[in-house]
Amino acid sequence: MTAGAADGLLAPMVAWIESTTLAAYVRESSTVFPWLEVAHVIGLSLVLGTIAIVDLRLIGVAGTDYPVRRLMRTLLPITWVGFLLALVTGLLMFASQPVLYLATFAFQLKLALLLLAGANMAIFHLWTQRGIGAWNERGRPPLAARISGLLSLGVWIGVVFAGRFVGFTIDPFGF
Amino acid sequence: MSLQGLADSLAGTAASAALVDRFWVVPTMQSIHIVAVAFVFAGTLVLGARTWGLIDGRWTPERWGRRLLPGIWGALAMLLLTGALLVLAEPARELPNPSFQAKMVALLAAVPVTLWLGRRLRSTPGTDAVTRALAALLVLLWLFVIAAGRWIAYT
Repeated sequence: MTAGAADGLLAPMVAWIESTTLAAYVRESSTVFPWLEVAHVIGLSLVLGTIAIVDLRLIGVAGTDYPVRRLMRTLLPITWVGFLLALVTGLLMFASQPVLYLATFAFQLKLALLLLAGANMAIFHLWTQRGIGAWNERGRPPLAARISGLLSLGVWIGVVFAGRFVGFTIDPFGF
Repeated sequence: MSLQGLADSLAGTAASAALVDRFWVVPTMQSIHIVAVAFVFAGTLVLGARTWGLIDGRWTPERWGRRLLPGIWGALAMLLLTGALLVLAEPARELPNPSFQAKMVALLAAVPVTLWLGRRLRSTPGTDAVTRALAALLVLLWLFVIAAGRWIAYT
């Protein structure tokens, strides 16, 4: 994603998003944007807080007597609910001023980190998890799984930092 | 001294100027603040979900408490530290602000409720209605803290 994305192939789509009634509503109401932010923080808290419990188990530093697969089945549904909440509220905030968001470095960084988190998760589920039978039950997982957990924790914390800098850079009512 | 007076005198300190003059300090403190609130809120919710019987029973609620409460207390300490620095950096934005004041009241309630919940988890095998109610109250208090915290920027 470059600063010029809004001028390129995406331009008509971005312009359309900005022109929708919904975008105008988020932009012009004095209460919708703050409440979207509140819901966004609740959503990201669920994502980061629950994924951190799973990550620390993968790294092998906490809760190592909880079987990995069982812990993931227990907590990841909460993670996904939080992610959906953050995604929907995030898209609505984005829609209010898409050109400005796309041109903001912190926002570009946040998207890149989200892609990295997704790639890390895909690698874990497609490859790292294959031999899980040998380390599922208890103790410290192998190096690949520990790296995956550490990367996930670091990237999600990075997403929160980048997101706060987005909020600090863009004034939702400053246009 | 009134809160406005306190805000004015804090704003005049060298420490306040040092924090607010560096453009990255406030958002960085806010970011750490949000990471910490994520740990506290999600930890409390998972603990609550276990006491309400909504998630896997591999660990007892007491075992979940031993796993999560130390982290919740650690994150709470981080919240207080970054929160204190944010107040020092921008006292006029925080102290006289009704959202900030409401947030502080909820926070003051959340601390003893957390202590009480921890004690009940240790002393009561399984869970009873009081433990479940304390967990529910704590989740609601943190939802309130999050909402009031975000509204500080708009009040």
